[in-house]
Amino acid sequence: MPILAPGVRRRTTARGAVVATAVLLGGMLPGAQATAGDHEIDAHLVYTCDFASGEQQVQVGVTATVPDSARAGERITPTDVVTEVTLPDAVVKELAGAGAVTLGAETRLTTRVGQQGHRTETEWLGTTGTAVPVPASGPLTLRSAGEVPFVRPLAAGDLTFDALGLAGVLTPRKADGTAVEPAATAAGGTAVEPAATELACTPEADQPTGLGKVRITGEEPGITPEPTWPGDTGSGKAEARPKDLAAPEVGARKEPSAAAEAAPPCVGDPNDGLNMVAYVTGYADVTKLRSATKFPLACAQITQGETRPDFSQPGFLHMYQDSAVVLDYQGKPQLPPASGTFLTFGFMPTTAVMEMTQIPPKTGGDGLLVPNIKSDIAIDLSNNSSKNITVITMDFMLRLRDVEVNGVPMDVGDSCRTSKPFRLTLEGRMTMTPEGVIDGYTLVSGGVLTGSVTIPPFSGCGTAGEDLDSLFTASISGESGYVKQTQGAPCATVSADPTYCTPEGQPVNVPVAER
Amino acid sequence: MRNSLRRLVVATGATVAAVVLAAPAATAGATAVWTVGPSSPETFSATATSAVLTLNSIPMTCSGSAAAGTLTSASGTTNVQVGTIAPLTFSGCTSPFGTVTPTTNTSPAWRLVANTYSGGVTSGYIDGVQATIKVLTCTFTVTGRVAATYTNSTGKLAVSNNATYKLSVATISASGCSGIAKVGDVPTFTSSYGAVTPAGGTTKPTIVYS
Repeated sequence: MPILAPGVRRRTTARGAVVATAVLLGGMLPGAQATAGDHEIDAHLVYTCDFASGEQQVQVGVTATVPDSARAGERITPTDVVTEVTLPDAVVKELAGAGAVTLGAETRLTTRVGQQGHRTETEWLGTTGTAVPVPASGPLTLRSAGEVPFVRPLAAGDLTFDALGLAGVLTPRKADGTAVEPAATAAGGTAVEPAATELACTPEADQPTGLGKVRITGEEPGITPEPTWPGDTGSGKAEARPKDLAAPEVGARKEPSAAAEAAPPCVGDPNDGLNMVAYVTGYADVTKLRSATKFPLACAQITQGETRPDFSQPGFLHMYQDSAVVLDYQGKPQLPPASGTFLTFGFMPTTAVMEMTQIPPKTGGDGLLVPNIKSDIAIDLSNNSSKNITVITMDFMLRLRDVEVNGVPMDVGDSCRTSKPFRLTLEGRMTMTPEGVIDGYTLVSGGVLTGSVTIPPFSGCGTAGEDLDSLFTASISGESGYVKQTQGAPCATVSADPTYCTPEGQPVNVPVAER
Repeated sequence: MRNSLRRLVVATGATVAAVVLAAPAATAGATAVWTVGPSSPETFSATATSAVLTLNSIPMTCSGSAAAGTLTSASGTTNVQVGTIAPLTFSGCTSPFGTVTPTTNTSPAWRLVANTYSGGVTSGYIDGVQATIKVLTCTFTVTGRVAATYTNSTGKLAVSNNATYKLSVATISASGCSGIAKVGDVPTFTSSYGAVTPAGGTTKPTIVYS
């Protein structure tokens, strides 16, 4: 049995451990869903929004997935929640006229949750993630997605969701990536509102605002309103308790990803004509933990290889393209260090800073990195459709440091890492129809890559004769886990295309991790 | 006499006109004129819902293209400029590599040149085409001419390439284009634009040779 810091075991009762675990891991675990089937919410509403130029009608679509039914007391977390805001022509012209070429948005849809006359409110926050191009004239649809709080009905009966107010922030940017300045000061010295930044909308009257409902069955015995309004996942954010104690409970609102703001530096080499830089982020399931660990937003330096056309398969043109990718965090080939939480012994909440360091590809005889991105682009010459497969392989070492077990620091030393490198293999696929409609991942456009990883045993963990290797090995190692990474569209440094590159030569496209 | 006969035939039937008017060069003379309608000069705009550039069997497909310009009557028989095109943009462009962003250079404006006329259909070419395409680190420019056919009855301007009117890759970036494009490659461009006059209007412009 591995040795724990004195006091840790004493302080941790089984009940205490379970509670702490639930709190700490709440953010990583999916909400408890009904076992019955799910159905999709798909609502279309009309809002009136205040813009600098005056009130405008805006079409709003709301989609989400909710369970068909659930039991009283169960948490229901709508998933795949998307708010689509279609800006009208006048607003788009206003933005374009102010010099905006891209537009990002964060939205906040207030949603009323009702059940048997009892009601409360929650907020569905979303972000566009990647800024969208602004046409010269509209309409322009912004697709804002994000995670939303759970809802816990306390009684049986239909649980309903209704759309209320819509607010948000629009972030228009110029071609050089700078924010669109507020309009010039008007004559007389009165400041004119920025072209369009704040979004404040109310639903038009005389229209159905229902989004959907979930059938709630069975009273959950023993559920009584708690004296204090519970936080959601231990984030420390307490919500004001609603006056209606019989209303469904809702979790704290989920802030939209701050990925764009948190993007680490990612500058390419303008002297290297084959250099590209791209952001990548995602999640890896650690099977033993029954949870997903987020890979923080990381910078990838990509060296594009040559493209080799191959007509040997009758009727098809294959283009094989081999490139190389090396992660870049402050000049080192690694992901930004990230704090993660996992369970030792299956119940002891443990936090650690995880350093994923890539073992870069070797340099080949031609002086170039041995490719670790391999694409096969197959074009059907009969109709111009195509299919792509891209496989990316990266070898890593994982180091743990700054470990705390149940809040108590544990000195694991400077060399607590996997005993050997492990390989992460990711695959992305794309199809293109004869009409040119593409779906999926390409190196050029980015997209979702999936794969699996198995963490090897740990070694070197512990100091002063303590051997903590088996503690971490037992908790993390072995058992292949699913990995889902999202790559943003790369900036080809030499081309400095403002669609893809900021003025500083960094990628414009900052992806948001998807589960 | 022949000119009078031509006018009569144009008024009475396209099929017969095609036979009689297939060779405008035969009418060479001081009076030969390409007349744009309903008025000259006139602005026009044109849109297409599909445009495909194929280079070395690699298709680049755009779901939209928009153009604007001016049509002007001019005298002459063949190789007569009857209009200019500027600007011309592409949107929704994809390739097997992923999204692509072709940009055009319409300064100087591309020239719409008439060559032959038959039954309300003017055949000629567009001269001065210049476009830049970026895929990953590869940037290449395409220049040259495309064959153009304008049909009065439909308002459609069909463009394509043939043995006479070709595009070619003029420049490539120092690196990144290996296997994709090289100088001298001959891409083909195909699209069909619906034209209206004035720009943004609803009337199909006409081009008539007489």
